[in-house]
Amino acid sequence: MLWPTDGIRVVELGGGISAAYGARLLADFGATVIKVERPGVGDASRQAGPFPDDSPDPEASGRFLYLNHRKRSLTLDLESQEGAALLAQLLTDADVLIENLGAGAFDRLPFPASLPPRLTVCSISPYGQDGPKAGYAGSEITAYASGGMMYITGSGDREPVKHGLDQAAHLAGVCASSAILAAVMLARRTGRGQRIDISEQETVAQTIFPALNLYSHLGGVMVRAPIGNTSVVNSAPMPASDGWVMPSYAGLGQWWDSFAGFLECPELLEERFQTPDGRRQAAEEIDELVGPRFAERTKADLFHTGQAWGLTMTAVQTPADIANCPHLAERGFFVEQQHPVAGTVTMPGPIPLTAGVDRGHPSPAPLLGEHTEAILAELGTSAEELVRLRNAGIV
Amino acid sequence: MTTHTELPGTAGPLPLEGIRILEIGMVFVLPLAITPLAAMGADVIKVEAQARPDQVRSGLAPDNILREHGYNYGVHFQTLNRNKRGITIDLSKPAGRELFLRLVAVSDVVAENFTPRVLKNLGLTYEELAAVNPRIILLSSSGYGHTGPWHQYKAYGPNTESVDGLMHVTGYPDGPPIRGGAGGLGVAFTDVAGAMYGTYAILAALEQRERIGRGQWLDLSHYESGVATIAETVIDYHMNGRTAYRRANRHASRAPQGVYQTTGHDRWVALSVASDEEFAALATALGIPDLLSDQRFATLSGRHEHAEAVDAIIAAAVADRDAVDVEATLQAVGVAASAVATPRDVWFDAQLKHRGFFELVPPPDEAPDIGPRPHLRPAWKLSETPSETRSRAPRFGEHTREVLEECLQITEDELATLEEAGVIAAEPRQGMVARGTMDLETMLSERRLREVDPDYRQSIERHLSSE
Repeated sequence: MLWPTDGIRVVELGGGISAAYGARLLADFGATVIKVERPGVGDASRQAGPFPDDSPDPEASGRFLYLNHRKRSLTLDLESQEGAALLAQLLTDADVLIENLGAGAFDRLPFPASLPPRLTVCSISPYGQDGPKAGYAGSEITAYASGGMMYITGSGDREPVKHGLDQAAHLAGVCASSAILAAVMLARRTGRGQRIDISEQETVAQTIFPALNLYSHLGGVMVRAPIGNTSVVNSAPMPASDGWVMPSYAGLGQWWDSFAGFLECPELLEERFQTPDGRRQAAEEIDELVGPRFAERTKADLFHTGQAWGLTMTAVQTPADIANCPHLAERGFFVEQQHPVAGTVTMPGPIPLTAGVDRGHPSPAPLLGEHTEAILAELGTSAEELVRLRNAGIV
Repeated sequence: MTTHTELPGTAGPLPLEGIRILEIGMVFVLPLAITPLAAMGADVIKVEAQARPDQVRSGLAPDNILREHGYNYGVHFQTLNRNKRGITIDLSKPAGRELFLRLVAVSDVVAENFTPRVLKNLGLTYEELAAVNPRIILLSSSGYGHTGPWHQYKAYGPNTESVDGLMHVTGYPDGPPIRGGAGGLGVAFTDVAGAMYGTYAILAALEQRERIGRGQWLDLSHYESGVATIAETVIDYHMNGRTAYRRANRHASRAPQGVYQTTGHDRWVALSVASDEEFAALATALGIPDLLSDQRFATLSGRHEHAEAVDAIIAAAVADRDAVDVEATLQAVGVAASAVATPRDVWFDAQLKHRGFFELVPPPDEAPDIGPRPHLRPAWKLSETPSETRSRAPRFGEHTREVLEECLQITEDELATLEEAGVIAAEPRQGMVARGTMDLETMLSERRLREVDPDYRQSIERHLSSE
């Protein structure tokens, strides 16, 4: 069966997380992705872990393998005239180019000719392609800082914090994949591609629209909540015997009697706890009542028994919990990549679950330059020419 | 930016022109998944019912003023539902279900976020929709998905962020797990992430339909879309048996990385150093040669090992400086740095203004006092596809007659019958949309707000209107 993006030809420059993840989402659904890497060095993700047995190997980086399965790798020195000419040749047959080389960097490559009109070019950068900060250096933490998310995350009496990993870069990749498909659909109709410009600052800013609206329409400037104030009533995590659970109060408040029954805590049924206002005023007292009951049970017990009572109760799951989750296993969410260097690597497969796409059996992430010879042959480069290009460090 | 009072027409061909989407969803995730598709030209028909209005309709009232029919003016509702049409159909009534299926027959996509059992109870499963229209695409957006042992579990926003592992890795090493954004009040990261996967899935299914001639059911689980953003930690667990933990702002490879307090109340600058060269540039630019003379800090691994010592020196060097000034100083030498912007700062950010990230949306005709108000545009810019708002979020049931006449050639008699039977309705049932204002004073006293700016409306309009 033809997959959703079968036949769409994508060239990826830059790599890292954002562009590589955007291209992976296209590859997940069937697109052909050629990943262009620097000769001898490759994508920066190859240097990032995790590595099997913690032993660094640019062919076995867990991050690289996750972001780049189902792709082909071509090495090319884009700074050289000949490298750029080969890229231009590659693009004559491509539908999409996705890159995160930095604002303006793609336009500075020494192209011999203009781009094919049908090509969609998607650029992801820290602050976007234009504007006073377009040339600024960026990283995950500056996206969180400039996008307004960081100021409101953490504890009011401590420093702002960001989400733990590289959420902004992943989200930028997801946005890229949508924008690309829309542009490709339009190009099929009009024969013309377009430029897509994604800013990681904006990617983060969109996620705090409730806080932005609170200022623009009421003047309220949100800040990190005081964390000493944690309580069930504030939907803050509560300690279980072996970790944390999240009692979502918006739900618990609706089913308060069940909550009392679930915790075997009849005191919660007292008159003063029966209204939202009453509970808010007695937040600390409620925590004193329920805290010990949470603390003596495991997070898995609280999670599953709570859900059996119809409560919005969940465990704060660790990566270990997630890796061993029977629900994800049954849905076939984790797929195995058989990699020649890293061995069997288990990682999330395509999202969502649908009959249109086989989640399992991805081809492994490519070795550095694994497909250089094949791709250049497809472009009509002779074997002798390939030797010369290799010796010159162009591929 | 002009303070236009009229909405622009369509300037060029839009990618999704001719695609009709029926949205039966409320609150954040599902409407948000459809927002970009509406912006790109799809005809999005939002289906509500007298007993089931979108709860976000009344979420945040402009200027904290309770207006008559306030459910038509909720701020978040406006953010999420621009460029959509609004109709009412009571799907729980047989005549409502039949009417909906007639719309399905002339639509391309149905997007819903019921809990899994509801779709079955309503008789609107994918099989039932496909029987009417084999080309229909159904997006089901739910906490855990429609299969698997947990599919009936409940998941409110805080639950998703706790199950998907994001909370576990967010926060201080000596503190509890933390939700992004003021305990989730100001932000909905997993909602936005879940939504964006939904957007992409619909576009992909439309593409696949071009190739195979039929639609499909997209079973989107927010649990899974959250895990996709922490995949490395799961891979690390499999490879090395390691379970990642909270590390505040530290980074696995970059060092130093963190936030440092500057002058002013609760003002901070964030910075991140990727190489020895950048570290030297930072030390020189901030005038702290001690960083360079100390051999402990000469290598990346040394800076990781002695991170607290490096942090203390940088903190002392910027404590008496302005955050924006430190940002400019470091960026001038190529070091990634940014003042930590408050939500207010975001509105006044020169970069975002230059890029037209905000637009002023004109007020509804019947409530001109609301005035033109700023909203975000989609988080991507397409060079040939305008993203300006073409129409405001719909009033409750605003387009019921228009849509049913246009799509189903429905007659006056039929409309009257449907109205009499309560299948369509002009207003939400009494009490179905909560009314209320925000208690900003209490939020201030509880330190959930940094401040309340009385001049917000004028200053933001001035800022966005100025050249």
